[in-house]
Amino acid sequence: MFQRTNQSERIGGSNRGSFAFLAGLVVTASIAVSQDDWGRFMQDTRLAKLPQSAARTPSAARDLSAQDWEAAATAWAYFDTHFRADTGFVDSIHDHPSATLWDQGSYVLALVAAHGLGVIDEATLAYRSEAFLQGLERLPLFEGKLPNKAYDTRDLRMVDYANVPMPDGIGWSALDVARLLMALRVLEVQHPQYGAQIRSIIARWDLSAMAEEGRLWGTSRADGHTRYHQEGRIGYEQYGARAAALWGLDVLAASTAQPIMEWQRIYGVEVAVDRRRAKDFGAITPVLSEPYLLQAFEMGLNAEGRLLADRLYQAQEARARDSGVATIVSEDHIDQAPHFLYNAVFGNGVDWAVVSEDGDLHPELRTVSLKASFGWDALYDTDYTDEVLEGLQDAASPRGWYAGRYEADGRINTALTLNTNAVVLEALHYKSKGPLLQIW
Amino acid sequence: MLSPWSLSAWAAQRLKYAGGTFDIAVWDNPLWRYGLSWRQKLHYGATFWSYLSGLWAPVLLLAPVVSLVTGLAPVAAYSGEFFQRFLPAVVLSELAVMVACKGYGVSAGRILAVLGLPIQMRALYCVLRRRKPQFAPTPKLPGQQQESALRYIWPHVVMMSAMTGAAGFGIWHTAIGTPGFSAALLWVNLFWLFVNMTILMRAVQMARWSPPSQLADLAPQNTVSYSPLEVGHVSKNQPV
Repeated sequence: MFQRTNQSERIGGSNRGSFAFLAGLVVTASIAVSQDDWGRFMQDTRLAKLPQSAARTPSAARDLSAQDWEAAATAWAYFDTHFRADTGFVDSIHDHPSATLWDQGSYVLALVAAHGLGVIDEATLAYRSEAFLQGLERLPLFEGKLPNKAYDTRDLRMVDYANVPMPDGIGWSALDVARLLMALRVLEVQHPQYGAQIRSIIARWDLSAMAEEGRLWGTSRADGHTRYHQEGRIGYEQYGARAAALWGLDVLAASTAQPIMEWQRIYGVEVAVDRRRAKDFGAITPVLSEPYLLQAFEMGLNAEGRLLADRLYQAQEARARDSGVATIVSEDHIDQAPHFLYNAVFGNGVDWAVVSEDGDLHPELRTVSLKASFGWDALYDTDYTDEVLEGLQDAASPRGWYAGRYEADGRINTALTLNTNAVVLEALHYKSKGPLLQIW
Repeated sequence: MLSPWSLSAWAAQRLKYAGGTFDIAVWDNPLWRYGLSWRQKLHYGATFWSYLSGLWAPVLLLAPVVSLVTGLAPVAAYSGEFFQRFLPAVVLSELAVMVACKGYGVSAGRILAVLGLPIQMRALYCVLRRRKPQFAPTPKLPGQQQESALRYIWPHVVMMSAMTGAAGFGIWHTAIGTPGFSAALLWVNLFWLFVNMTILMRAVQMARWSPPSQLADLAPQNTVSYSPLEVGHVSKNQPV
């Protein structure tokens, strides 16, 4: 009766709704899962195969040449002229009183390397180490947990990357903290008298905040909110993890590239690149020299690092042989906008990408990296590295080494930075004595 | 015909049911009484429990709105891991309900339960304020909608507006890549919004419905005036 039609149709219609709901739910779940790249990625247990072919063996320690000693003195000149006695810190870039912890880690490693080489005496090492550790003791921490991404080297105020004071900070970089942890470990292993002080400094930090699920986690603060994000891409991530592991952090998953890498053929060489592509995961993925060189100079390359570093070097030499243009690429400041570029063998899906932090490509600004040239020469000592290094001897200044040379017009890249000079010292130390952490 | 014929009649009936249920649940609960069998207590318990859904069902209905406005997911898990656990539970529970209902449709009851939420909340509020529920008889004759239907469905309209706004907000922030918003978050919440709004839409449909005219013509002049959302004032103008 009425408008209700017969009972059976009503029942069928109602349960059609339930089935439609379930079908819709399954479809939604599939879409959500397929869109959740990070989730799928983390569940993917696929490991890249490491070929059995032997990797090039790093060169054994050997005597430095007269030119090397001069190079070391030039590199130390940067630290001589950019030291802030009030804070114990060293400016990251000439004429810019700002510093990241990555750079201060570089400084401490350069200090230990310079002392190891005999470029500076015991008193200088002691004065500098004490000043720096005192600076660390009064470093304001981001949310009371870990050091901020950047500080003003004159007063150790938390700042943003433009050196504008930010009372609440802008977050921490797990990679930067990891590099400083590396440096502090090296300092206390080489000079145990600083061990107690270093440990009391680190006891004030909440290191567990930067490691979770076996990986490194950074934070960013914007609009009053702090967000956590997994930090570190191929090379850097493994370097940071190995450094953080020296202090017992939960970073085992990040210490090998196998779960996140795939092979990419570049100039006939299979190079390890990151599967977490920039467009899906919102962070640039440059594959370049820096992290492998640092790993070698500080801890020594492990088996995986040897293989990956060898391939990376081969690709760069192959490009130079093929194009006739000297090619040694790394992360570097440049003396013009955009001021900092990652010169990659492969980055953001492009061979030989020159990429800025925000993902823009600047191929016309590719440079030969001076620090990486010193680095590969220390590590492998090939005819090619000798040749490139010889071509960079005019990049020395009274205040340290310039960052490198522009590929396009051969002009010197006159950016004068802490990192360039620190890596030169580390490379020369490695050439002379081997990894900084290995005192056996 | 014993069913209510107008929105006001339906609301009055629901309010009586809910008010009566809460009244004994709060002030004279049979669950703590001697003399009832466990089966009877179970039935009373199930009834009280179902009426209490007014407390949490709105939270569930509006969770997607909160998610789409703030970019916060209520559960922190990777999509794969989450659905691996969530889907079997929901699918099995839905199938179990269908089986338990022996093939009778389950949607109508579900829709009425959601549409009655504001009335349940109102009834609970009144009972907690110790207002005595009144039990006016529901008019059982066909009648046209008399009062403004908006009076009964405004909570549903407000919820639907909030949901529509949240959907637009979420789509926009996902498109411009605001941190916290992701395609996965958007899809899942739009699905729930769609499901919830499909149910809430029935309130509008209900308000627009009136009995077929040949039946309405049979009705005598309806003298009943209700204030069904004002418990305690219902009985003034009872039909004789």
